[in-house]
Amino acid sequence: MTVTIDTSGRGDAAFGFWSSARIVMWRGWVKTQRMPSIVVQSLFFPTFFLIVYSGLYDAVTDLPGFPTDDVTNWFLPFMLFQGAAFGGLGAGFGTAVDIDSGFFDRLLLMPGNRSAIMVGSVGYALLRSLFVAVVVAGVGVALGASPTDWAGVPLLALAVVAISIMGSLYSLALIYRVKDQRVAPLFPIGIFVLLFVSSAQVPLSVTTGWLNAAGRINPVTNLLRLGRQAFLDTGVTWEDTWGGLVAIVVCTALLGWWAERGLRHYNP
Amino acid sequence: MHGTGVASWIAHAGVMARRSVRGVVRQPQLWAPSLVFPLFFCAVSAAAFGRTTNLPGFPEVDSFLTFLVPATIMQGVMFGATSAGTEQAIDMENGFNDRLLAAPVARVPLLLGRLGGIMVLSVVQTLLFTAVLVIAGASFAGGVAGLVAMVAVSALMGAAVGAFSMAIALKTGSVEAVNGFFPIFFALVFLSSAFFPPELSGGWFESVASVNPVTWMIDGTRDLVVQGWSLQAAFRAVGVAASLLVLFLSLALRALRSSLRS
Amino acid sequence: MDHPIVAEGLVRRFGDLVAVDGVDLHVARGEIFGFLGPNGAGKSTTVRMLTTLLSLSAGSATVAGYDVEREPHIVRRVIGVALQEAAIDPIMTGRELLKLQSVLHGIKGRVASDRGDELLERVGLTAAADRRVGTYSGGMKRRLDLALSLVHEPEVLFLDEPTTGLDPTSRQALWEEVRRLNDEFGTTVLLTTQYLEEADQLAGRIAIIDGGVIVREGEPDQLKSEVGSPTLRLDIDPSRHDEARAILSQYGESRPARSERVAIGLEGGAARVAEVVRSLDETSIEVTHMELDAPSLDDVFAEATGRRLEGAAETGAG
Repeated sequence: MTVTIDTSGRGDAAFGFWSSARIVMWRGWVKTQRMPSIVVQSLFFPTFFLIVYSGLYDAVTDLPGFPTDDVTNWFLPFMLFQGAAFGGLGAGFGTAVDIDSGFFDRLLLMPGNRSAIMVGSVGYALLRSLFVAVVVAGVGVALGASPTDWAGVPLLALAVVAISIMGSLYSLALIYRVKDQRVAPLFPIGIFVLLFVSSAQVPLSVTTGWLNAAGRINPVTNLLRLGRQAFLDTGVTWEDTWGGLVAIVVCTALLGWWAERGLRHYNP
Repeated sequence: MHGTGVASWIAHAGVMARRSVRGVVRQPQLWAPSLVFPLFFCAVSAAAFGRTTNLPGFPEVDSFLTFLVPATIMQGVMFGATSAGTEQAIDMENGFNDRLLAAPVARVPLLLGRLGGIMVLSVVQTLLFTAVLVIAGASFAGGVAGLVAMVAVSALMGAAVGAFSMAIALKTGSVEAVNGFFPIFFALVFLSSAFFPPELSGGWFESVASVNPVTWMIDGTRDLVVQGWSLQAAFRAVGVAASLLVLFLSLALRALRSSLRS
Repeated sequence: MDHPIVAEGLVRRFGDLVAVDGVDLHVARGEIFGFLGPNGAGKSTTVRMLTTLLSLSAGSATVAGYDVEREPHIVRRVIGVALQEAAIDPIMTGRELLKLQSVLHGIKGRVASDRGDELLERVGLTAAADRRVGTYSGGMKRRLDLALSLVHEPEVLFLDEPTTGLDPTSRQALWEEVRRLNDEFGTTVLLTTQYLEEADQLAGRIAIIDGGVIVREGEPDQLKSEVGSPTLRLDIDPSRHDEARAILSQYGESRPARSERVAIGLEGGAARVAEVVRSLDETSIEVTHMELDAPSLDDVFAEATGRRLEGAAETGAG
């Protein structure tokens, strides 16, 4: 039996891009299922924080300027973001392990467009993030969160997907450049800072000093505004929506470009 | 051949303490997170929840930053002390322990030496954090006596957490297991009065926080920071930390004994 | 002649370190080419450049006629690569990895699974196909790695230290498989190794690399004969030594030997042994024992570099 391989053209992009991306994603998913401890770890923090925050900061919503009285409604979207962002980092962690073991070379030896590796990694991290998001949302509902405007739910879902993709692209952009597994534990720091220096804990109008100034220019604040609409008294408005959409498009494009360039110039 | 005299005991413990301090200081990835994370979290929380001190029922305090001083210090100390267990586990994975156990020295001083090293690091970290927080605008009403009491709490608590993580390391010999247990202390701090007054939130949280020993310790320390020196507050904070140390140290010694038998 | 692997003036620097310092290679179609050298000699670096995994600091290279720098995608279609340290995911099964590898090389569906089964059969892993690779022995991993590198029927196969760390039996099995591939499909093979025996057994031609430079290149036998003539040692009754030496002097120079022996450097090599024995027989000199020690590749290496290959002491004692 023979397999004919067309060696005439240079059409790298046409060389099974989506099937390659899908198989990389499939591998990540198979591995995740065989290492349940990874899933447990990515579930722990958002779930734990959601439960603790809804008890610990129950009184905070009494402050003037809070757009809801329900502390769980307030914190649930943020915890979904947190789960999605750290789930997204799984793309970079997985790649770091592959680089360390040499498996990444095997992927790099594919004849097609190498960006399929990146897309596949983002895809499997997204699967993981969505799994975490569903569990965290379930815990939130059990704690009493309930949407005030169902039109906001798809917007929240969109924001969660976008955050996971951004987290993946960020971690991939870094690991494609540093190529060293030992640096990977530092990746969450950037995400952690970005997430918290925003309207994550209280509305911008309640924050004071530097946090107010920094939160204003942090795109995460826009994303939170977009995602939180499902759970606030104000409901969905265009004013709270467009900034988040712009943030998604701009940040995803920039991070995608950054990661893709890192991979394109991967060969040391 | 075993050096069982008190002098050699102390000498061995001293060597081990120095070794563990050096081991930690030389590895920034071990101590950097325990400095950066609590201070960052403190900065963000102080700016986010600054207005909550005006809520009715919030205990008398000049700023939310001052309110957070004990939480930030305890979080840093606990974070840092876990690295001792990590060190122990790394040593065990590298076979260093087998060499130590084969050497003609008593084992208990080795363990105590490590804990001594952690206590030194905890004290340094507490003084550093206090300085940073005071420069950032927190007030400290306790004076020298209050500071000494707070440093003692930190040292005891650091040793307690270190003893716990060493018990895990001795039982499992795995770095991952030690890191896996870290969330326990993380959870204990968050389920206490460390970051917000539980009496304001009420509900299940208040009930959980009120039986959490970390709450008793934080409350005692906070009284020293906010209201000034009082023997009663100092005794409460030091007492809790010392009891935890006794508990976890006995766990670690039992783990050590059974690891020697096997 | 057709050369699927051509490298000219290949250089690779890592900072100040020059790992590969001007390597020229011409590997002919259908040959098994051995790249022999100690650890850190630049073998793997050269292979990584030829397989598009590392960029070139200077020089140029083509594989199957395609430039590794300008047309890396096409190069990757026609090469199979089994890298050192068998980069295999321990928590996947052999069959799953074959599936992944097939899809990455544009082979899908039935064709892929048939090909996967055929390759598993070929390397004797059919029974272990659905077990996680983590449970495989070292030899099984290498065989799987070989199967993975073959899914797309590559024209050129790169094997980077394929048997390092394997026991002799597993090593033999892998050699068999490589030979079979070469015989049946005419696959061109470039293999790197630090084992003299491997280069000797498997490769039609070898290059010895040391410090990033090729120090010798050619067929193993030719390289060995260039080092010098083999030593012929004959056990002869000491009373007849003078006679024997007189006869033997026409076949080569006398060489030092133990007291009961006479030794010469046999010019013309093994082919003349019979002639020597006949000459001695004609004068009724009885030879009770005879040894012919050909120069080994290690002698070639030693002659070229002034050092012995690591771990080769036992084979290179001649």
